[in-house]
Amino acid sequence: MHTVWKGAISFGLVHVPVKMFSATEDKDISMRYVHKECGSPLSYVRKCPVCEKEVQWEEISKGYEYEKGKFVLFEKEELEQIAEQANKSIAILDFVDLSEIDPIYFQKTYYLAPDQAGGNAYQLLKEAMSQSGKIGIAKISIRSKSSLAAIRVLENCLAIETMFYPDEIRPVSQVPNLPENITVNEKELGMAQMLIDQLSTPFDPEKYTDDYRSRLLELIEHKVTGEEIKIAPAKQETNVIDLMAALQASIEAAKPAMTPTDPGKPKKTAKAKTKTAAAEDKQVAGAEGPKPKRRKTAKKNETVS
Amino acid sequence: MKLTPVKPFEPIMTDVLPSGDNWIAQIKWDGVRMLAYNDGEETELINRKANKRTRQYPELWDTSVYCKAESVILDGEIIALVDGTPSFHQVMKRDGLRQEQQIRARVRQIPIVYMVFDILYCNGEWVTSRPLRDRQALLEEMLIPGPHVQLVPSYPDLPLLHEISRRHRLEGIVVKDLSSVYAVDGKDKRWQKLKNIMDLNAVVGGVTYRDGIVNALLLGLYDEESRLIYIGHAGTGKLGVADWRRITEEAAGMAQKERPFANQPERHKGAAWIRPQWVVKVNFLEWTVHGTLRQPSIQAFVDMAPEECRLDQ
Repeated sequence: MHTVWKGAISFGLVHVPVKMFSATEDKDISMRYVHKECGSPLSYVRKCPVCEKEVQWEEISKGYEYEKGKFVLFEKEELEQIAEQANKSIAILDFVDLSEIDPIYFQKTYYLAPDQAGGNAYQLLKEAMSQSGKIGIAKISIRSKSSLAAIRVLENCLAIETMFYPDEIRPVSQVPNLPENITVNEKELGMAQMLIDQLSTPFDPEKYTDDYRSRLLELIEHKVTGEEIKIAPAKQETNVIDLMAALQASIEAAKPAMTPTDPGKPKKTAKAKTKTAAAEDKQVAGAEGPKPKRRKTAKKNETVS
Repeated sequence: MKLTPVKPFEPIMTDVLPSGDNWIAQIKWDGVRMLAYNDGEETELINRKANKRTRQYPELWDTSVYCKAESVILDGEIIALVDGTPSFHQVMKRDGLRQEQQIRARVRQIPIVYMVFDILYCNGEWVTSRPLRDRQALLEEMLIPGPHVQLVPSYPDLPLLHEISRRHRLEGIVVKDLSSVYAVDGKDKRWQKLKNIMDLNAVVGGVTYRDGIVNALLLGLYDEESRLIYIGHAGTGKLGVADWRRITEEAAGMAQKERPFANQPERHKGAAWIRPQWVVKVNFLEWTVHGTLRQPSIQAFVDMAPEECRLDQ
């Protein structure tokens, strides 16, 4: 796990240096866009449609479109200035009961680990929260975004849940077609409750798996092993045997009378043909490139020296 | 594996060809030096630094395809071609892979050939104490050349092969004493290399930028007092736009205030210093009188300890 944020929890006069790690990971299988014709992955170009040219990062600024086609531009420093000053701290504002917070508020969970000699303060905060059964509501800013957060004890670790601000949550009143003032049949209600009772079981997260992902992985594996892969085409390379043949031809052209040493003949193909000793003399004069593989006894190599 | 990995014999650098009849010359194939071990049951591929590269080259797993011996240790160079010529940069695209899926995919994209030139062990017996002449005969008897394995040819005319290697723009030649035994972990004049292209592994101690992207690396080598000595800028070579972007990203995390070089590099204005951790292989024309490289060109990033990049390499 790599650290996503480093800072300190402050509450009252207690200061707890912590490191933050993502508690969850997205296991979606990502795919790339590939040109069907040649199998190469596409590259993306940042292009200005007016100047009709590719734009470098240094030429790019952030802009807010306040009116169709009209932008106010911001430099990085300007945006940094208004970011929370308390950038490096998680300030606990209140302690509340977890059951008071509806799950709709929760965004993403991170683990907090004590940083540099923060072990004692960390342990103190964790123990106090654990005994009181309360969770802390805090403000935190990660990169430039500030959010509300809940700090709680998870097993033997402190965890922090980033939360939406209330104005980021849409009211239920905006949902269309919700039934009002309709009475339900007592008998049907009883049946429904019975069904719920029958299906009631302790929550066992292990039994739920991502079936789509496992099917996709299986399909990927199948395609990869079945060699049905789209691969960016490699340039057709000249075979090393061609190069060896070219070297041999150069040598023979330079010195027609030269006899290569025994182990030295480049092999034309893997399919070796047994060559008789008589053919050896012919080969000296041959300037037609490498010979088929010869098999020889060790003794013949004595001709080298 | 029952066989204990050994360090291969290495040639020394020379610019003069030895005289005498007892020598043969071979093309110096520019790739990664690799020993293939098969103890009768399993195969391992292990490089000069004793690192396993078995997973990276599935083509060589089944030794029975290319070797008749029941058990064997072969010595050679794994190469990959670009435009018909061996390219170190190209083979590093295979050698550097760690992910199973990528390895499988690149087997098809970048074909490799194992250029075998020696045999150390055969059918349960070490053959390193036999002269090269005998080992070559044994190797020829055992090796079955194919699309992924070739026997490196030997030639008695050393100057001619040297000339031809230059004409074909190859890295150089290695000349070997036919009566020499195979000295494990040795390096002496029984094998000598003559290079057409100079190269070395250098440490990157700084970078320069153009338009926010790194466009050159500042190179250095350690002297005998372990000081990093600047030896030149390298901005050309085999790296592509994507490589430079990656370098830019990673260099940002390696920045340091102090200059890692003991001497002041030329054109140091605009240079940003980085922790000397990267090692790159560079080709170059010659050393200048100022002790810098003329026309260095970057071949690849290599997995090597920076402190091993010494001026006397």
